[in-house]
Amino acid sequence: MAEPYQLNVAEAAQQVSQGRLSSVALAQSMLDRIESAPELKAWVTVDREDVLSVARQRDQELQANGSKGPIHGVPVALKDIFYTAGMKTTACSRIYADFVPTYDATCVARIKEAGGIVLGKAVTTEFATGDPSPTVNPWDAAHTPGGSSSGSSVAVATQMCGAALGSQTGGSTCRPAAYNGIVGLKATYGRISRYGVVPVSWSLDTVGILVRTVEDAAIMLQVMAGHDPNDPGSAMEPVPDYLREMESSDKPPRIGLAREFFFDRSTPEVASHTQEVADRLKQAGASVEEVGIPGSFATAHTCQRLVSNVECAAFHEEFFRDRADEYGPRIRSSIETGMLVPGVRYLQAQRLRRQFRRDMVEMVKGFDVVLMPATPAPAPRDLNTTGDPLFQVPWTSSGLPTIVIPSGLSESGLPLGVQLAGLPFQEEKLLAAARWCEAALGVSLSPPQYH
Amino acid sequence: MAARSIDPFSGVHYNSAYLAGTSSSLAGDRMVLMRPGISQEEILLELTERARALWGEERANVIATSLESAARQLWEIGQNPPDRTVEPGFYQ
Repeated sequence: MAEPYQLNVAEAAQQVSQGRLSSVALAQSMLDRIESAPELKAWVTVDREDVLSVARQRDQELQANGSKGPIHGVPVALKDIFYTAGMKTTACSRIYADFVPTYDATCVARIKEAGGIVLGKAVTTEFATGDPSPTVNPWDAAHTPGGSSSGSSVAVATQMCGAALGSQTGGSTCRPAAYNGIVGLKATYGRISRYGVVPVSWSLDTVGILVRTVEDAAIMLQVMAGHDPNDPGSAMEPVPDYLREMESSDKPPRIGLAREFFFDRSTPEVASHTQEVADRLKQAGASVEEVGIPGSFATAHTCQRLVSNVECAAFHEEFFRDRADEYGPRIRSSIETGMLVPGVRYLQAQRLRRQFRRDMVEMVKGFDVVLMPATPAPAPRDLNTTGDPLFQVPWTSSGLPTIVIPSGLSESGLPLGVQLAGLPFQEEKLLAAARWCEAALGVSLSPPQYH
Repeated sequence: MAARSIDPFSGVHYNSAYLAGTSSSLAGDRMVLMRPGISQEEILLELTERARALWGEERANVIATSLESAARQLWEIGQNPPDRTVEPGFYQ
């Protein structure tokens, strides 16, 4: 029988709601698991007593009033940029080292309303930008775990929890998901509230979901999706029943295979692996047809980088005036460079992004999903980098939703993944296709040392 | 005047006369970066001057690689004007 910490979100929620597992036992098991692997450096704050106290409360609530929601009694990890009332939110920075918010981020509040428990705060790169974090890749300590959602990804990969929140401004959810062999979902920009999330770049930041199955991604999205008047970028689009839509749509998807750019920029191993994945999906019944990229793709990475630097500089300007020396080298360079960009060029980049989004929608339109490698290569053997967000940036910049699912191992024994992209606010179709692909591939990865 | 490099790895060289004299007038001119036909190298010079003015010589040298990237980005965006009818898409 599986240890409680090994359960996915859906399994844990079901066992708790049916009274077969107490929330306390589940939380205890995860806390023990966390304590057993301090060498991974995945956590900033874990308050054991507080977690167990909330778990006891959830067990009592269940007995008295039934389940609060779809994740009743299930602990969830938060990247340490999500505001948590009364609990430090450091952004793994010296600037926010002692910051204790007085309120929860909207998505944290929604997790609690759905019965979830905050398990703790996971390590992020400083302010969710490019300076590598101390978190260790559980597959091979000599390789980066990715970033910026490094602690969240490692915690999920090593079964310290079934779900964690991350964020993505460039490639910070889907890239570490791929490097650690788990599922990462970046919803459409505006689908999940950013209120109470320390920003990198307001017009790019998207809350990310890190889990081990596509079903769990759907559950977590259901819990958090929906309009929030406190977030000016929050969309008014209605929220469908993701699980029901996903379950009612089990027909093979129409897949657009994006070889152009994505295969060209991959290692030969990754390119041939992705082609093999496409072939396997085709054999399983999916329609697979090559799709080209729009001309506006040429400036997509440039616009994302420039916009991100300028907005990051704007957010940090006040702190930076007196405390520049307290920033890490990469974020400091980004802020300094961002401050030099003329306003007109920033606005042109934002106009190009809008044009690009239209073109990307046209690209994806004829398919249920577009398939590509998740990353150009497996996690690099270099702890001075968090890896390359090249394949995430176009989707983050255009705001379209993407999901990464594990698809195999490299020759060196590191996880490989594929990325699927869908149309804005059609996560139900993206999730349905991803779940179909997940089942057709039958790949579930777990780092051998932490299995 | 001999050319010199601000970054031994960048391969970008510019004239020291620019640094010694003409640059000071340019540093205060916010429009230089928007000049039609400005080259990537000229953008880099201007960004470097501004970085020096804001954060000093040492920091300008430290962020030389970032400045090169920024110069490339600014140049690329300048070369690709958006369609006239497109408004910025802050919140997609």
